[in-house]
Amino acid sequence: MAGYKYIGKRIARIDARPKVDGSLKYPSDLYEKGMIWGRVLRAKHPHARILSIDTSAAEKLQGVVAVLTHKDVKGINRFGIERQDQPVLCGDRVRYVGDAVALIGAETKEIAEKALGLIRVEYEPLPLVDDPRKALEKDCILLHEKGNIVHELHFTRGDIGKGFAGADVVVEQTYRTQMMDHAFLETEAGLATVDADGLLTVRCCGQYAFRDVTQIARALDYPEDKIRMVEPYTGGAFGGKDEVTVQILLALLALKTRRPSKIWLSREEHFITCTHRHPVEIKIKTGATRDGKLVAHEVWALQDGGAYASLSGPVLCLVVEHSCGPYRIPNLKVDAWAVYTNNGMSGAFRGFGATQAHVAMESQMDILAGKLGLDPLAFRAKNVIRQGDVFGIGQPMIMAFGVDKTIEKAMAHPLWAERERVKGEVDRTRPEDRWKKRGVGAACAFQGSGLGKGLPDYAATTMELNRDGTVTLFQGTIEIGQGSYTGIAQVAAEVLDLPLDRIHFVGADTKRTLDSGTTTASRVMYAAGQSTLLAAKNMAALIREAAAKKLGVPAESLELRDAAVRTGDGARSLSYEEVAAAAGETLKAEGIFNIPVADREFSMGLPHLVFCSNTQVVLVEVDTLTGEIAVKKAVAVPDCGTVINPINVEGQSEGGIVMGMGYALWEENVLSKGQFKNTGLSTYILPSSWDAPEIETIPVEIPEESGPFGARSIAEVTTTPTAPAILNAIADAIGVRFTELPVTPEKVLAALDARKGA
Amino acid sequence: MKITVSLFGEYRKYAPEYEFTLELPDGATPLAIAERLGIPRTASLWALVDGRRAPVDAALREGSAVSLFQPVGGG
Repeated sequence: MAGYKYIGKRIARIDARPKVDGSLKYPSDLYEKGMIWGRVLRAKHPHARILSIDTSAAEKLQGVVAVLTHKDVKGINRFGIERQDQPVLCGDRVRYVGDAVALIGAETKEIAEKALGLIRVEYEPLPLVDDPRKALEKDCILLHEKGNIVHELHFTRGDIGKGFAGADVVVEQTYRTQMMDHAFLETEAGLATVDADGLLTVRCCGQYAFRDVTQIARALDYPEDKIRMVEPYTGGAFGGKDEVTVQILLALLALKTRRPSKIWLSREEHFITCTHRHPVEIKIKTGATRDGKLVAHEVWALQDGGAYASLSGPVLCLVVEHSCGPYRIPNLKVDAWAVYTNNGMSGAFRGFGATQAHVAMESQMDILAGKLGLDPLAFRAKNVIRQGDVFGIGQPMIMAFGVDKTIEKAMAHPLWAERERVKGEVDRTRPEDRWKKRGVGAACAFQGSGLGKGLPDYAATTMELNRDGTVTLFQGTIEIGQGSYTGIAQVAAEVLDLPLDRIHFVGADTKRTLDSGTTTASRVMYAAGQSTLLAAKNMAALIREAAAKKLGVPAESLELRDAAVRTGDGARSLSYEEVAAAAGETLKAEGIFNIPVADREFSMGLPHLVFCSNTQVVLVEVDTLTGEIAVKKAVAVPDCGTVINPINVEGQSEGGIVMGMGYALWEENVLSKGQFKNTGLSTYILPSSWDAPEIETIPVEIPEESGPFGARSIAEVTTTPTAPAILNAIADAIGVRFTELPVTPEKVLAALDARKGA
Repeated sequence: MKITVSLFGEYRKYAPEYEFTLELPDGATPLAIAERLGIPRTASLWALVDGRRAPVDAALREGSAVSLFQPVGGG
């Protein structure tokens, strides 16, 4: 970007080299002398009463150090971000197959594995609740004392009856999205130690070290000030490590044995225990006038939360907030429920409810456009919310909001503007292309940045000027692969005009960094970036003051340039090393930022003020002989404000699109009677580099004044529009509208056969 | 001293408004505010003081803004 030295530049990640040469240690890479291995006995029953647990044989096995059950847990023995309803170790009842019943600590993982097989648990099966509709029935067994509803939301605006009465076209459709796995590279892992003073240190993968401290303290009744979480680098998360995974079990084992304790879940154990993407059933009825104006919209949504609450409530809030799309609709009615079932666990996952909502709403928009005979993107542009409008559930869009700009740019792209030509480019003389049909589809999406109104949403950065003139930057968010540490360092580099290799980054460590909020909710580059900007500005002021004293000039006459502080005419200067020496004591600066929220309360949900947006256009090829679908090209037009690092934005965009392809076409956690049927990467089908299409990312940069150099974040919105864009492209290619994900070859062939039969 | 208090989430029910001002003696803490409002002391009680996460027993200063909440946010 013009005028900046570090902002907007294609700068390699600061952690690239140690990640490539293996010197950076992820939590699963950690080993310590005298370490024991922890393994967890899982319930295997989806719903049952525990009658007895006999650990005697396991305890006698040579090499077993500890066999722990619920009786060994001193605290509340429960965890959960929103509601503490999930046992650390179950004592009387299990509610899903991944529930933890016992914890083994052994000298080797083989011994731990063998000991698991020696524990005898007697169960009495209880009625299974494997259908969220069943969970709502009055005579259904209660999975939790307070009932089977985790959360419900009901919202109306305008007059829905009058709205539909004034509609010329009404589309009513039911959409079903599936359970999906984060499938991050590093399964849940960590290592815990306890020192002679009782300080418990847990080095673990996660997404919010400070909240993990509270979850451990609460569950185990251990003092918070004696717990240190160190979680700077995590091998992928996508929301799946937002909830506690192995943190409390690690802590329990280390506290009981006083031995360094390691847990590293197998891929199978991960599939069974992790907090997947919620399956959601969404019924939508939408009305529009002949001239293409949306007038009424009614939504009914039912979200399967699985056995425990985790973040089902907040996810439902985002389903509701995003279920009306980024569109002006005067008459709305939304009713939504999240319920408990025995279907595994669901929780945070990239998009956090917005992903499911967009599948429904963006399909709905294409169906409506078709009935009205309008260009699908032009129809969206006609209805899209612009800065200054009032958004669906009532919040005013006063911050930068660029969905309209992303639609405009996508419409101008040849893949959209010349789509008939592009679709005709299949060479049907080639035998392999004879059965292929091409389609182009688009979808636009928006995603709240931050936690939304109803919760404080803060970020904090500290920094120190070291004696050698380098700066140490302390930031409590987590590098989960998104490149945020590099972006944040670029912000500091720009303010201080200091090369990135002169900035030492200290990531999430609850004893060294300040609480900077969660590494979730598309918030880090925006919030932690802005707190870093403020800290860097404060540091710059301290540097000027210290230099001014030494040079005997006014501080305001000094400027920071090329890692030194200089007088305006450049005649006199001090390097940062000389400033550090002149200051005597270590210069320390702090920056605090709170994400702006609406200045009033809303009747429901977690409405946001700050949003990122993205319009995507995809070209698909459907093989009508085999049913296979290939995405041949994708164009993404995101708005994340000022782009701090184009490589990071493109990386996020490309990863998000490929993840969205998996969601649309292949991925699904298949459950039958509460049991997971595909628990390995050979049966849970992920897209790979073979499947990745040519991807073009063309950001529109609508600067957000409250963000660092005008930046917001990007993250989740890179994946939100992909699945509906693919559904729309499939419909364009073969004239079949799919409303259930994933669209597998079997479904395609069945639909084509059905149409032939008809 | 005058302290601005904001309540979030489950704690919203402990006062008629989500944001209000309290007159408190010198040395008051976020915990003292919680106690005065009847909010139970648990490990889930978190406080922000002037936008910065602070211990619940941190001493407040005249004009401080205190937010009481539980760490229930994610995404």
